This record gives sequence, C-alpha cells and structure tokens, in this order.
Amino acid sequence: MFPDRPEIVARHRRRGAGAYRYSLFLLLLWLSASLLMGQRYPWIVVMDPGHGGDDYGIRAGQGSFEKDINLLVARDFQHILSADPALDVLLTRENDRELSLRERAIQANNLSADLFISVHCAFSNRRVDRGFIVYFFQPEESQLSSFHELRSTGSHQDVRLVPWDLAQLPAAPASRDLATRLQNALNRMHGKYSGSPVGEQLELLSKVACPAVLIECCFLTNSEDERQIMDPFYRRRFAEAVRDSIMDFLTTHQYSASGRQP
Amino acid sequence: MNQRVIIIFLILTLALLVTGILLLYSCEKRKQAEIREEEKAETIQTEELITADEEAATSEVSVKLYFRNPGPAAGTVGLLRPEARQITTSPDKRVFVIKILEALLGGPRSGNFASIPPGVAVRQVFLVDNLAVIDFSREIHTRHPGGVLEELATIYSIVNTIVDNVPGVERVRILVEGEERSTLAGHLHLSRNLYHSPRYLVGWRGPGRIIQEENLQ
Repeated sequence: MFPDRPEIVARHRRRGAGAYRYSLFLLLLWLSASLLMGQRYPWIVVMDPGHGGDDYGIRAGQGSFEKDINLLVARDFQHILSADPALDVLLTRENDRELSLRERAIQANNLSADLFISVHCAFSNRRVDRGFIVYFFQPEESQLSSFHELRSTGSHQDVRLVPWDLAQLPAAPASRDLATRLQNALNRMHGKYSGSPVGEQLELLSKVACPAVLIECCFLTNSEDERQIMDPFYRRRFAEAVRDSIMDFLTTHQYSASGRQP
Repeated sequence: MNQRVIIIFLILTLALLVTGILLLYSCEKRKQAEIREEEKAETIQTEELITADEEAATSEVSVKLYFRNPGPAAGTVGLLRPEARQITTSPDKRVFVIKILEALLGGPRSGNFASIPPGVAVRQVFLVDNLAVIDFSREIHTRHPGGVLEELATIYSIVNTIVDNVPGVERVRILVEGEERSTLAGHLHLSRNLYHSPRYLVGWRGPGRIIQEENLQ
C-alpha cells in the first residue's frame, strides 16, 4: 500500500541521496587527509654501517676504526630519520659484528627496502683531502646488454626475474638521482662545492634491488675531518641533510621497491 | 807346394785384415770428424742464440707505470699519475709482465704515492689470449689501507700499467693467493675482467669527466 504513496517514495529518494552524499563526503575526507599527510606510509630505509667485526676498515690517525665510526653515524641517521613517521629505518648490523656484502644485500632485499644507504669513511694518501663522496652503482655495457637480453626473452618477461648480480640495474637511474640529491644537500650543508656523485662498480650496491648509494662521510686520514665526525652536533646536521634529500627523493619518485602504492 | 800355398794364403789373409782395419779406422775417423763438425755447428748456433738473448735481455724499453697522484684531486678524477721507467725487455711476454709488475711494486721515484701496499709479491702470471691473469700474495688484501679511492688506485694502477705497456693484452684479472676475491678491501667488484680506464688519470678530458678543473682547487 505505502509504495504507491508519492510522499513515501520521495522520502526514500531523499534518503538515497543522503547516503550518496555521505559516501562522497567520506571519500573527499579520505582524499584530503591523504593529501594533507603527503600520501605517507612507512618507506623502508635500510642503513648499512660498513665493515664490522674483524673487518676494521680504515684505521684512523687518532686510533679509531672505520667500522665503529660507520656504526656511530648510521645510528644517528636512524635516530634522525625515524623521527619522521613516513620512514621506517633499519640497520643491517646494530653491533660490532662481521657481515659479508652478500648478507647485507640479502637483508635489504628480504625487507623489500625502498632505499639503501651504506655508510663508510674515506681514506686518502693525501692527508689534506677532506669532505665526503657519494657513490652509486655504474653498470658496465656488458651488464646492460645481458640485462636487456634477459628482459627481452619471453620466459623472463612475465615473472620479472633478475639475476642476483644484476639486481641493481632496474633501480640504477633512480640511484644516480638519489646520489645527486644527497651530494647537493651535503654540499649545501658544508657551504661549498665538494665534488659530484661518483658512479663505480661497487660490489655491494650491484646486488641491492632498490635505489642504493654508498656515502663516505669523511676522510679519516684528515685529523680535522676525524674530529668533526666525532662531534654529535655535526653528525646531527649531516643526518638532517640526508633525511631532507631522502624525503625529497621519495616524494618526487613515489618510488616503492615493494610495489606498495602510496 | 803345400807349404807355398799356405804362405800365400796367410799373406792374403794378413793383407785383407790390414785393409779391413785401415778401412774401419778411416770410417771411424770420418765419423768422428762429422760429429765434431756437428758439435761445432751446434755450438756456434747456441752461441748465436745466447748472444741474441743477451742482447734482448740487455736492451731496455721505456714503460709507463701508474702511481697514486699526490697532486690535487677531486673524487676519482686525477687519481693516477704516470711515471716513465726503463725496463729490460724479455722475449718471453710473461717474464716482461712480471718485470713491469715488480717495477710497479717497487714504488714510485718521482714524488708520487705508492698505489700498492708494501710487502706484496707477484705469485704467478698467466697469459691467455688478450687476458693477463695476475696472482698476488695475500698482502695486497691484508695490508690494504681501505677506502674506495685507494682501492680504485690499486686496481687501476695495475690494470692500466699492464694494458698500456704489454702489446696484445687488453684485459686483466686479479687473483689473491690463487683465488678470486669479490673485493680487494670491501668495496669494488674484483672478480671480473678489468679493462684499461683512462678516466682515473691526471688530465683526463673524456665524457666521463664530471668534475671541472676549477673545482679541483
């Protein structure tokens, strides 16, 4: 009986319109919240303190070892970067233990890291050399051709298999961009030009399947550099410059090695 | 009658015996002369070879050895500087490679820094087509100071020196104590064929140059 009454039908229609408007409101709310939050979700950043255990790395002039300084700097990076809710920062080693390059790459790849930074110090026979160097993986022609050959073969097109030694190749251009951003940010922090990022055949980076760089934070053969890196205030400024360029890189590229979409 | 026949027979037998002995003696003498001549010829040939070898060994060639540049450098640019050296040549290419490496291991003479740690020895050198496989003692790894720059300097001072000076060698493979290592001091990929790279040399102006001269100061 009542469906025939026009006022009830109109009320039902009004209710339908209200639900529609309510859903639209929720959708807009979610979208604006996403935009306001900068489309954030925790990006996984793996920090790798170089050397460790019986592998001392460089022996500095003041008696300190590179492995210890690398861990100190990486912990500071973790502390500063973790303050940003968009970043989840993990270390490949949290104490003084030896890890092979392969084990470090395995950790990053198993965690589906979005970013990998290996922390090291530099050595130079010229004691006056100072500053920092950012390295990225520079593929050779032969590696590029074997990678493209592999990609063009039918069996690998679907499953996207990449050999262990060529894991970095898909991310190599992004790694170069990350290295440039880091170098620029650190140049600004130091207030002077301190070189350009350097592409090399780095064994560790070649096996990491996400944008990856290696930073030599200071020259341990320079006493002033060594003193500076032991200063917590300097390390904080260094870590903040790294954090800013990482965030800049991640939000620009919207890069996700794990396939998650922000 | 019988007696005369016997005497003639004896004389004939004696004559034959003497003739035979004489023939044998002359043959032996000729043979000995031939042997002596052969020996003499061989001696002359050997003497000639020895003289040629000695000449080759004593002749010197100028080679370019690459050491760590002590001058201003930025990043990997200007990392290595050449130093001319006189090395005695050898007809054996393998020996020549060892001589060059020994000169490199001996260190610089004109103000450059050593690119290879002290106490390193060359254990073996193999030449296969255009590939030189060089096996170093463990000190090249255990005494290495570390850092990417010095690792680059060590590797490319060896590779560039060999490829630049040994004709026919285009690639180098570095072994440590007879085995391949993934890296020398924890950074650069070592278990691969390494090619001559001019981009680490002082004065390099190629496309790989990313740091400008004005920034080197």
